[in-house]
Amino acid sequence: MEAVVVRAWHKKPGEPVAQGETVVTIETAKAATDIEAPASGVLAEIRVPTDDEVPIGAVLGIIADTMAEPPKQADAPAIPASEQPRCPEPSPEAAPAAPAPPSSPLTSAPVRVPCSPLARRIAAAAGVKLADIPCPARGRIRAADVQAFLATRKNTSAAPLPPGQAGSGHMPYATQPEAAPLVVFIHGFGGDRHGWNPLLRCLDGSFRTLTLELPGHGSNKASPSAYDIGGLADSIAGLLTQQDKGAIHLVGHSLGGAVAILLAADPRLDVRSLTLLAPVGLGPEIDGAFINGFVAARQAASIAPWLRRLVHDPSLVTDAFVNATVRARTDSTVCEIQQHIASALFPDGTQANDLRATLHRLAVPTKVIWGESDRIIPVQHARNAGPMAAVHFLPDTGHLPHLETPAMVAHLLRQIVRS
Amino acid sequence: MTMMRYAEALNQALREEMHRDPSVFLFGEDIARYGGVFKVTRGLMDEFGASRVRDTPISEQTLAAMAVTAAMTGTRPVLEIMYADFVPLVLDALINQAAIYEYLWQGVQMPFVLRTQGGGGAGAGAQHSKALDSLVAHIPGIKVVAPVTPADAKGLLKAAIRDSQPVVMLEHKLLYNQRAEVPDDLDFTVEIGKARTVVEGRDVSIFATSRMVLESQKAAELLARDGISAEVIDLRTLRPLDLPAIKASIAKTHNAVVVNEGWRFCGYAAELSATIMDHAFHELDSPVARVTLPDMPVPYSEPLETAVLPNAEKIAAAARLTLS
Repeated sequence: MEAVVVRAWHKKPGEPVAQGETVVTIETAKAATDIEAPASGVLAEIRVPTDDEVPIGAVLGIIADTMAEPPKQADAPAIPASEQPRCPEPSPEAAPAAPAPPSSPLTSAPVRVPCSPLARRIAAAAGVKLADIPCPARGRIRAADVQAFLATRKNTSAAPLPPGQAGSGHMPYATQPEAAPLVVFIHGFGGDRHGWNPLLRCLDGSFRTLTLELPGHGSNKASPSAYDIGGLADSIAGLLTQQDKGAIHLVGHSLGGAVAILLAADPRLDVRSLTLLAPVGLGPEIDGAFINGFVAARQAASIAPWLRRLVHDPSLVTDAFVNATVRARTDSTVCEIQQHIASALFPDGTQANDLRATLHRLAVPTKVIWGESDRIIPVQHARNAGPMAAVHFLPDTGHLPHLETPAMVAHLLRQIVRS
Repeated sequence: MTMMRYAEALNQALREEMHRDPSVFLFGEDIARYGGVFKVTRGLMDEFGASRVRDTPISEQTLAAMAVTAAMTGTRPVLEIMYADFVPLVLDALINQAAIYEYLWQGVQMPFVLRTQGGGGAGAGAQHSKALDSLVAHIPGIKVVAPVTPADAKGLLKAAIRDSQPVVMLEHKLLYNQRAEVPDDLDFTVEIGKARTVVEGRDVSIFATSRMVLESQKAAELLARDGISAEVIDLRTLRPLDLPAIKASIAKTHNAVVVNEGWRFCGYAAELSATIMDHAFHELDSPVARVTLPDMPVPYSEPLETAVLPNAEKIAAAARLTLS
């Protein structure tokens, strides 16, 4: 992670703040995080306005004892460099830094990366900084994470990334050398491009990546040309044909999978492989209660149970995950478009589109990946992928393989793209 | 090798050592005519006479002081304290006499054995189910052993009787009927201070004491179904600890679960956990997980007792936690 986006200021300049009060919400690639006031005082200055992106280490604002005091202090880190997006629960000492009167930037001391002693020892022996190692969902680096990091570093060291292009937290567009294959990711219903981040981290520079957003999802607030699966596919095809991307590899999850099937059949595009994660379109069943419940839900209490239904291990649904989802559902345009999509594509809790014939006619190498514990779309649909597709069943995985077992999905993806 | 029960193995150890060394004698409550409440001393009074196998009044404090003085004056007493729950009554003799006389007076030897049994699972209620391992293991100068198998019961008891230092032997009421092969060799002993690898594994080490070793073995089977390879180590001696064995196992698995039937706070498991951190911190890939009795009396009610005692499921859950 190199940058974060300021999502909301909860105080106006001049307003008093109490120590521990939420002053500002920032968004990392994965989750929104509230920054609490490290000291009581007055919000003297906002240095980074809402929706601006800042690098780690920037000062977000200044809390002063009084407004009269000119809050001039040397820049201090605003977001700890080591606070990886996947470490949502930094240790208590990682809370914003102690007050430094008379004025106190909203800063943090460098966060101590939670790490097992063995992992720390291996990292030290290899000369690796812990802050450079992607922190897994458990919030603590273990030996295996260091070893995986060392392995990927070895793999990529042959073709070093251009300076300044490695490991950006913001991944809408490719960050890898032109020669690397371009993999295009299309998220599922109600999701957005950030959902791919755990998987992208596991790919760790293997490919150029492009994460696109369906109409009415994430920051794509446009309506589709038509409220059907073809309309969604047209929107994405439009984004892809605007600039000629050349050969692409498609990865689609759930609804994005259905879109990917249509795109793979689109003669305007040069699709080299197709990877479908629990795709829509291979059978009539779908969990209608989930669709309805999710579409209607606007707050953490009502969203969390549906999010837990998406995964095999409910502990993956962290507060940060729930809050980020709630935040994504505060936009009425987005919600309205999604409502339309849901009623057009999944009327009465049924999948209206049967894409089996389209999929069976495709000549591109196809992989279908499905979690054995998927409660949204029955895993049995994988059997309908046709004789040409490779089908992979992932144990202890629900509807979000790219979040739940990202390393395995990354492995399969490398397989198909490199083949 | 002969197939026998744990209680019979102890009986055999006592008989063999009494034949071997005429200074060995037994005393305790109901051990002579009645043969002990768990029948460990059955038949020994008939064989060795009432002066070497003695029934005593119910006065544990006196019994422990007798053991200390008998040991100081050249005999090898083996004292049975019927329940570990009564160990608090003998602590003065252990802490203020047995453990320090060798230190205070050069040349004094303290070759006595205190056998007792503790632990829950038999519906014996809050006054007869405790595992007070940490109380005795806390005392420098006292060795503490806790055999699980009949063979170890025999071998460790014989080693304890031959030892020149005070040894407390912690038995478990649910182990007395365990049957297994026991060596017949008259000189068979098990070295005090040596752990035993019960199950070899590579993902997580489970260090257990007494009956918890059996539960840990079951836990290893549960874990194996999930593809987790657990190593189970029977510590056998609670003090002195077999540090090389502990360190070697953690160097292999990098994850540790410690299991003891006693209380959690300041308990034996806490000591194990701290020892692991002292000696193998940089091998650890996860925090040491502790499985113990909660800090509460052992309930008499069977379902409640079952709910609070450590068991295979709880041990397996702790092991999974270290791997999560």
